[in-house]
Amino acid sequence: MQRQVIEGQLAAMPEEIGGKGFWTIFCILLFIIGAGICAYLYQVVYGLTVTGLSHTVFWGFYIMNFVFFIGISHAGTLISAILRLTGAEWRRPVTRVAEAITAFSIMVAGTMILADMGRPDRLLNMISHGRVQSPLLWDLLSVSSYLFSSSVYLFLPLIPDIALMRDKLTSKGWRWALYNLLSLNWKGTDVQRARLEKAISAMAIMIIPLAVSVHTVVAYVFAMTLRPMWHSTIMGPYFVIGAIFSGLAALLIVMAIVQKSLRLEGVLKEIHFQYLSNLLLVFFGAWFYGTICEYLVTGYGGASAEMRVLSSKMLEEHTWMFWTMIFCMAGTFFILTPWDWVVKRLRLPVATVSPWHAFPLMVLGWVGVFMTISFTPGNPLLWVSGVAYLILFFLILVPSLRQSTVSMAVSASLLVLVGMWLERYSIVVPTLTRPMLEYIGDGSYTPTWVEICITFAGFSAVGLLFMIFSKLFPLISIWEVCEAEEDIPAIVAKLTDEATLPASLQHGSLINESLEVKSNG
Amino acid sequence: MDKKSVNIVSPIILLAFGAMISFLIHLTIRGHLGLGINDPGFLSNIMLGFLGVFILGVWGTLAYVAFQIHKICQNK
Repeated sequence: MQRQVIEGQLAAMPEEIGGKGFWTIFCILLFIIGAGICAYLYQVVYGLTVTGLSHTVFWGFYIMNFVFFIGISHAGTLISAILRLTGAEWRRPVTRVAEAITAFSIMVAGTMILADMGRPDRLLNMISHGRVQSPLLWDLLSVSSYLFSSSVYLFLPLIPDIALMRDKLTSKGWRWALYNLLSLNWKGTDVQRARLEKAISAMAIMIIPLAVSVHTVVAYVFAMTLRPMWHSTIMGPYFVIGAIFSGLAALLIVMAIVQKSLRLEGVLKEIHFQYLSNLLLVFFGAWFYGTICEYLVTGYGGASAEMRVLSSKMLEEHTWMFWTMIFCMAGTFFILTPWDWVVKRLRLPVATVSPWHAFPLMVLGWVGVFMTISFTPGNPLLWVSGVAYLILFFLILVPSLRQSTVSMAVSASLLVLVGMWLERYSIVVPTLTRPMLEYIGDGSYTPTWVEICITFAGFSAVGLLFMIFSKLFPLISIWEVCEAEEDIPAIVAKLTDEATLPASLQHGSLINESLEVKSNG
Repeated sequence: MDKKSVNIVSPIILLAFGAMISFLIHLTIRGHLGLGINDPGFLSNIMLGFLGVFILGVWGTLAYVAFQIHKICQNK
C-alpha cells in the first residue's frame, strides 16, 4: 500500500511540472540559447577574430567552460556509481538527478570544443588524421566514450520507471508512445530485474575508471605541454579532485531547486544534504591540499618562467580572478565546517556554540583580504571580491541561515562553483599570457561579447536540458526508493533472528538506529 | 503492444562499439604504416596499446550491456 502511494506520487511528478514559473524560465533559457547560437554563427562567418583569442592566448572562455562542464559531469559518477557499488542506501533518491547532470553537462562540454575550433568541419581531421601520441586524440576518445556511457547509465535505471509511467497513463498519446518505445517491453519479472541489475553493475564498475580517465586526459592536454605551471605531474589528480568537488556542488544546488520546486521534502531530506555537504567538505580538503602542493612547489622552485606566471596570478593582471577564487573557497570552508562538532570534540569551555565564536577567525580572514588588496590597490575588481567576502561573513552570522542545512549547503555550493570556474581561468589563461620565449612578449586576453554569449548559452543549455528531462521523466528513481522501503522489515527480521547477538543489541539501539537510518535515507 | 516493442538501445550501442573498434584498427594501421606519425616507435606502441585496452574495456562493457538490454526486451 505504502509502495503504491509512493509510486503514484512520484510517477505523477513530470505531468505536474509546468506552472507559470517553469515556462517563464524555460523561455528565458531558450532566448539565451538563441542568442548564443546567433553569436556562434557570427563567429563561424567571421572566424575566431571576433573572439578575444590570439596567436599567443589561443585558449580562453571556451576551454575554461569545457573543463568546467567536464568537472560538473563527475557528479553522477561519484554519487551514483561509487555509492551504488559501496551499498550506501541513502543514495537512492539522489542518483537520478546526479546522472542527469552528468549526461547534460558533458553534452554541453562537447559543444564548447566545437566553438573553440572555429571551423567545426576540422573535427573530422581528428578522426582521419588523428595522431596516437596526441593528448587531443585521447581526449576525443575518452570524452566521447564518457558521453555515450553516461547516457546509457542514465537510461538503464530509468527503464522500470518509464514502464511504470506508461502503465499509469490513461490515454494513448505521444507520451504513451514515447514511454512504450523506451520501456523496452519491461514487465518487472525476476529475469528482467536480474538482467537490469547485471547491466547497471557492469556500467557502475566501468564508468568509475572511465570518469577518472576523462578528467586526467583533460588535464594531460595541459600537462603534456612544456609550459610553465602546466607541465606538472599533479595536474591529473588535481583535475579529478576539482571535478568531483564542483560536481558535488552542482548536485547540491540542483537537489535544492528540485526539493523546493516540487515540494519533495519527504524524499530529498535534510540528511541527504548533510551527507553531501560532508562529502563536499572532504573534497574541499583534498582540493586545498592539491592547491598548496601546486603553488608552494612552484614558488620554492623559483624557475623564472614559472615565477612570471605565478606573479601574474597573484600580483598582476589576473589577481582578482585568483584571489576571488581563494575567497570563495575560504568562505566554503567556514560555511561547511561543523563548528558545533569541533567545539564538542575539542571540549572547549563553551556551553552552546554561537556564530560569534567564529568571529576571531573572521577577523583573521578580513586581515588576509586587506593585506591581499594592499598588494594591488589599483585593482577595483579585487576590492569588489574583498567586500563580497566581508558580506559573506556577516551572512554566516545570521542564525536562520546557519540553522538550515539546505541553505548552508546551497550557499557553500554556489561559492564552490564560482571558485572552481575562476580556478579554470587561473589555470588556462595566465600561462598563455606569459610565453616561454620572452621575446614574443606578454599576451593579453579579454573575452568578447561572442564568447560571453556562448558561455551563457552553455549554462542555459544545461538548465534547459534538465527542465525538458524533468517534464518527461521522474527526477527520483521510483523503483529504487520503493526497494529501500521494502528492505526495512527484512533488515529488522534479520537483526532479531541473530541468535548470537547480545540481547542488548537484538532489542536495543542497533535496530532502532538502523530503522532510523533507513527511514531517513 | 509486446510484439511492437522495439529494442532501440542495443543496436545503437553495438553500432557505436563497431565504430570505435574500426577507429582503433584505423589508428593501428596508420601507426604500423607510419602514416602521419613522426615517431612510430616505443611511445606510439605504448599509446596504441593503452588506447586499445581502453577502447576494448569500455566498449566491450557497453557491448555486454547491449546484450543484457536485448535480453530484457526478450524477457528471458
